[in-house]
Amino acid sequence: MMCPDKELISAWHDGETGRRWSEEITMHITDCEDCAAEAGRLDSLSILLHESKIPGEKEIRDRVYNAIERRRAVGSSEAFWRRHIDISMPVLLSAAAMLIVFFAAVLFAFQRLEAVPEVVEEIQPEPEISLQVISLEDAAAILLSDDSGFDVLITIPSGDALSVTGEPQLIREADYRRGE
Amino acid sequence: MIVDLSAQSGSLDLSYIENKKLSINMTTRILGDENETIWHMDSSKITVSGEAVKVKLSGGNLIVIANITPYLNSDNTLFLVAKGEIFMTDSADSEEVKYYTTLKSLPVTVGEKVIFFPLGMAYDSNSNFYSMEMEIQVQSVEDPDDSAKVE
Repeated sequence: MMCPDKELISAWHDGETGRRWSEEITMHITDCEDCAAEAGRLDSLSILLHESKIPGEKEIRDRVYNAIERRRAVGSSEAFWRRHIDISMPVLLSAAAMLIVFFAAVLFAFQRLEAVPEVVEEIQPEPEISLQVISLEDAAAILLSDDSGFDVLITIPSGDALSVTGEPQLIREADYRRGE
Repeated sequence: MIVDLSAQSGSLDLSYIENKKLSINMTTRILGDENETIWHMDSSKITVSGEAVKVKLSGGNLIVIANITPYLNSDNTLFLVAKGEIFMTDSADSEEVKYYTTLKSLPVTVGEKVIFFPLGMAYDSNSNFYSMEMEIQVQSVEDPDDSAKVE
């Protein structure tokens, strides 16, 4: 068997060749120093990768972290109006609708406020009535001097001769016999 | 802006009140020692059911305020309420005022006469005081337009 190329040896090393090719390459490698060396190199590389010992891994990680920190520092010092804000379209439309309703309500309220004073200005405040009634004598004096609020006014000619003679009564005329 | 209420009267339904107009006819009498009428005065006032007619009688040493309120029932009977208030002094020179108040009610029919004694009834004919009575008659007020319709 002639020496297989490196790609075929790599496929054999990874178990990706068929059974017939795998047996032939295995027999060849045992007899061929060059191919055995290539297989050994692949073994070393595989061991290295499995151990995750990437050369310079720490330096690479530090560089990535530093780059992230620098970008974050730049972003925090940026003016807020230059920042990018993600707002979905439904939220934006809802906010716009609420603003329109709010301004319409404010406009309506102002129109009503402008209309009310026109009526209020015509309403004259009622004059204050201050009656300092401190006694029955005062009440009687007010009643004597003020006839407003009564439907019928009668002046009794012989008031001096009248007096309370008992319990007030309200009776049917049919039940009343004068003098009895 | 002045609101013209007359312009709105067309929208007000006053038929309920119109159908309950009542006339309060009163005869106030002063009776002498022998219960003879020595003075009287007739007065009349139109009102509606539930609205009081306020009468003020004044003279000499007393003021009598009588509020007569008729309530018209659905069966066309009446419930008459009479409220009386009296302010009086013992004499014209006295400054001490006495106050009496009373509230009386009576179911009556339309046109029936009742008598209200705001100062009480003078049973004793020998008393030196005159007595006062108010004869009250409540009558329904016929609308001339309605009478014409009936005829």
